Amino acid sequence: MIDFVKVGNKIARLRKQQGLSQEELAEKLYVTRQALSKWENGSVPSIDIVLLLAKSFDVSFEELLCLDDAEGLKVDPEDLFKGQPRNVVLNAILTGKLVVDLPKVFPQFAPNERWALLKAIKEKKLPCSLPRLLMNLTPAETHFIKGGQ
Amino acid sequence: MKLKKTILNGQTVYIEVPEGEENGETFEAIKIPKIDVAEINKAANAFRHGHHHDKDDDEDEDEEKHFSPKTHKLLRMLPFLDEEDIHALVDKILASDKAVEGLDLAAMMPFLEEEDCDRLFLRSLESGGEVTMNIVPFVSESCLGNVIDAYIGGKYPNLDVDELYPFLDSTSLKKLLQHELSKE
Repeated sequence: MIDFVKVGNKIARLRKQQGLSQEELAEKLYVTRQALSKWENGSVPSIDIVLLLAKSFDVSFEELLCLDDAEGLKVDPEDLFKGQPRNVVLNAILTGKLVVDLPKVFPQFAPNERWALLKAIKEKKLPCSLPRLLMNLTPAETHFIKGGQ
Repeated sequence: MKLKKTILNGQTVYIEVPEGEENGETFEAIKIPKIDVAEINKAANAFRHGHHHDKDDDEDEDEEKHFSPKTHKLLRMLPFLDEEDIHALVDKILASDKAVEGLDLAAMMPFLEEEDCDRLFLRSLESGGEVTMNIVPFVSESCLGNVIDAYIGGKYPNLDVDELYPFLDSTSLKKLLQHELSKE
């Protein structure tokens, strides 16, 4: 999974190294400055744009997309979904690829996401401190997680 | 009664100080991180708004889509279904059973096993219809890798690889980008 926040930082850094403003690079790529700004802030450019940017900066697409930096998904526990699609973060947690302090970040999830997490916790697929988690649950969620224990 | 100044959700509020603490200095403001309730509510439409892709800076990302009553009902049941029940449900979807017609796959995905996610994704691709890319994060990397191999081999000519590539592993991504470069 590509970390587009990192890619965005790289795009900004390479642009500055070439001494270009956002307007100048956007003009070179035939895109709007706003589009470029979004990519620099972690939005996902199309493949054509990735290839165009790599060519423009004279770097390989592997380098631009930081493919060889073997790091997992990084999130800010205070703002779990910042710069990352919700589904990606949720799936990374559900599959154990991303370990977070669940009781702490639980209020950041939407109702359906909470139920998916609670189901995984109840089935013991996801380790979590129940006493701390219980403080953040609705009565229905508490009933669900405590049922059958 | 003494009141304590607190900043909650970006607003200043005053809360009553418990009796035992009344003698202490209580006017220090406590900062509670701002919670974006609107964002959470938006996400309650769940998994539809997963991956945002910018082709156009004017793209409207506020389009609100709601679950059908059938999906909504199912979502309330899913946490209580065991693996076998869910597996049977996926089999019904794959068999195009009328009883499960119109269900929102993206909303179901977090409750499914990876194998079932793969089967639904492949079915969605094979059917030639529009693939809901919000289900992609739940599909295994090996399944996505096979899809990319097939795409490079000429299968799935209508596949929107722009939506898919953020979820590929490094090997498949390199293959795909080399393929796209060779087309130029």
